[in-house]
Amino acid sequence: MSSPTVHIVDDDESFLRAVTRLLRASGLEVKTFMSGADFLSQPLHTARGCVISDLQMPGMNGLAFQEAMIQAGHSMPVIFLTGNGDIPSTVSAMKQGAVDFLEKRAPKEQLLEAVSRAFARDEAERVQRTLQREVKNRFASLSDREKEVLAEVVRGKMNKEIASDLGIHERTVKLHRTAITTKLQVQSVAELTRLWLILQGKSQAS
Amino acid sequence: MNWVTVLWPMMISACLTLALINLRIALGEVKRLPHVFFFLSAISVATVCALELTILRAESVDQVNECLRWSSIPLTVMVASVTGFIWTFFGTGRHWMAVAGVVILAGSQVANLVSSHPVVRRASAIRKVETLGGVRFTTPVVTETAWSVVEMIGVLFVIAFVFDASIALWRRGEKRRALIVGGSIIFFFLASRGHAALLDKGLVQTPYLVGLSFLAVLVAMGHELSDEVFRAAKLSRDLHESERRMDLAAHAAKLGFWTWNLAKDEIWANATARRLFEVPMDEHINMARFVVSLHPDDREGVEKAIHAALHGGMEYEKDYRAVLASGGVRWISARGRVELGNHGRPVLMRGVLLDITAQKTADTELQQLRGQLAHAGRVSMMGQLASALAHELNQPLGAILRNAEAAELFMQDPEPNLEEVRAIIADIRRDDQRAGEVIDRLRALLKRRDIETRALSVSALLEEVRALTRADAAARGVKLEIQCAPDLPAIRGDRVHLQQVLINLIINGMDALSEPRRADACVIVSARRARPGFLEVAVMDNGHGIPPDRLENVFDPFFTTKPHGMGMGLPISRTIIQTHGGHIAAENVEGGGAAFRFTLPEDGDHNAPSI
Repeated sequence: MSSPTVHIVDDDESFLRAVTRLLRASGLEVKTFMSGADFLSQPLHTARGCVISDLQMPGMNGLAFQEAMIQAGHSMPVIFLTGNGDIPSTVSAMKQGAVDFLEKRAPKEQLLEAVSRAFARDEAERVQRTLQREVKNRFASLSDREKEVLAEVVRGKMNKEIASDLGIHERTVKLHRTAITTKLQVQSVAELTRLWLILQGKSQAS
Repeated sequence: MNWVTVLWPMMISACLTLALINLRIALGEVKRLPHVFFFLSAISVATVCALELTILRAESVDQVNECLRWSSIPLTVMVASVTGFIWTFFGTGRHWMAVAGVVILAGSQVANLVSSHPVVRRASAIRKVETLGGVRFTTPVVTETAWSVVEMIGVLFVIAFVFDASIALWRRGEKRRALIVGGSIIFFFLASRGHAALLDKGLVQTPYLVGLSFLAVLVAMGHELSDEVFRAAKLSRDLHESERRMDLAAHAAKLGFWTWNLAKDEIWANATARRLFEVPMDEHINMARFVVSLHPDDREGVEKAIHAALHGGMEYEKDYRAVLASGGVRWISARGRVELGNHGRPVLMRGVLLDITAQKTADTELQQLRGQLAHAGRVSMMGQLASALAHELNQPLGAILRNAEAAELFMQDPEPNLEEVRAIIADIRRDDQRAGEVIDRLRALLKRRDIETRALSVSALLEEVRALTRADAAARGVKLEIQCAPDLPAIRGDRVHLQQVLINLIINGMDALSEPRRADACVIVSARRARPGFLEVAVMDNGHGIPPDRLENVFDPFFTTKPHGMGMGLPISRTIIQTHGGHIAAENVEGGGAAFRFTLPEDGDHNAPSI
């Protein structure tokens, strides 16, 4: 797996060169793109790191680029650079999950902090996605009846209630619960609930 | 003392008087040949009269014959000069007739003159006759010879010529002159010749009346000639009158007149013209003196205009400023024309001057007002462009900052990469220049100024406008396209004002595209050659267009469909285009969107440099 990289998208060649110099001198991996379309045309689904994009670009502007990125399945966090605090576009970009907004001439400390925050978030999201995938695989091994029972368990229902809800014997419920804990490799109901939440995408990996 | 001795001398003196008068006129007149012929006719008639008088009082046949012999000279001169008079005065008739008549007549008369006895008309005897009032006089008995017939043929040719010339003149419409001169000459030629024939045959007993007849011819000729003189006099009076009227008109209109003699390099100028330049009446003026009196900025233009007129243009037209001795400047409008000499070369220029200072001052004030209005428009336009322009500035500034920060990091290295640092410094320098250019463009747009036209390249103008609006278009997600036809001629215009018009139209187009937002939003600016002498620039968008009922009003002041618009952009644009001699119009494009088209005159001077 490649190391985390800063992907810079800007239509201004001189600016691209300057930012590249700074980030490389700060020890970061950098890739540059002259436009959003340029970025999207390259196979970068497995890339790690973050994207720094100008908000105002001819052709595809920053917001349109962000939207296209999400649709194309890119998951890297985006840092937008802007000349002035344009509130409507800020709100709109935030809604789509931009990490940060920086003024084009913000001090380099702010820029580097934003990059490291974005890297951290990318990393966390990546771990989360991996975990989710794993949990999903474990859940896939459950039978339909076991899944039904699990849904009742995580709602905090007693075995008796589950038996009556599903119209099965209480002992059968107990057998199902044993099979579930074995298959999902958990020891307690609390652990089971946490996995369940991860599966639903409602919780972060701790 | 009797009527014969009174009448003939009177006729002689009358003829001599007429002769002298016409000699005087002939010496002074341009069209002098008719007067010369008249003079010769009158002298010869006087001589004929004198010879007639001698015959009347002759005592012997020899005396009479001597007179008849010498009469050949005045008769020939008389007939020849009358013929010449008709030839030159009428300018019509078949010349061969005149030549034949005169030659034949002259031949007979020469024969008459050189033979020992007169051969045309010879007296064989004389008679003493008594006539009216009991006057006794001598009359010859004449024998006719073959030469008489020759003379008669000559006279007939001359009469035929006069008849022919008179008919031609009659047809040309000068009926009175044909009738009076031609008619009387024919009549009196025939009458005198007939009377002489009757007299020679002894059928009538009167003195010869050749002199008297020709005196009548002279009177008829003289009448017409004097008519010419009168006409000339009247013409001169009319001319004088018209000159005075002209003077009055020139004075009232404050027109100055001037004439420049190229060969002598002398400029004549009337009092008004001299007053306009504040040049004293007695000062000698030449071209150099004239040029010196001009405003330094106008000298080249005036010299060019004069040069163009002299080298084929013929017409001269120029407005310029004269610097006055009393201080200050006077605007003068000059119009003139080149006059060519015999060889088709210019010999002089003549023209008028008019003081147009008041008009120019008003023009300048109007231009200043327009300038202020345009300035206000630009300021409000810049407000709309502000965020985009901030971005335009932030781009190089941001690059400079990042480069500087990177350089700092490089320098912390114990062995810094100087190559890289040098590259950084070069980049910083370039970006600084870029930022400076943005500021220059802004400053040029925001400066308050009057309209100054010069030759401009349309494609360069469109590129500059693209640079100014590119960022705004990018921010709004609008595609801005420039389509400039190749090899467009330069136009004449004010760069900043035309930029303003274009930016204004482009912003309008982008505003029309903002709601609802669309993916293919596009503003196209195109330039092409329209009708001869004009370029057409069009700004088109694919937005919602202009409501049809409002198309007519879009150029009205304070008319706007925008929530925050002032409604001054389009009226200012129209004023600017009209000041440039162009025309602007709005229309809706088929398939949605609006198009604003305006025309600009091509620059007259084709080898003018672009911006």
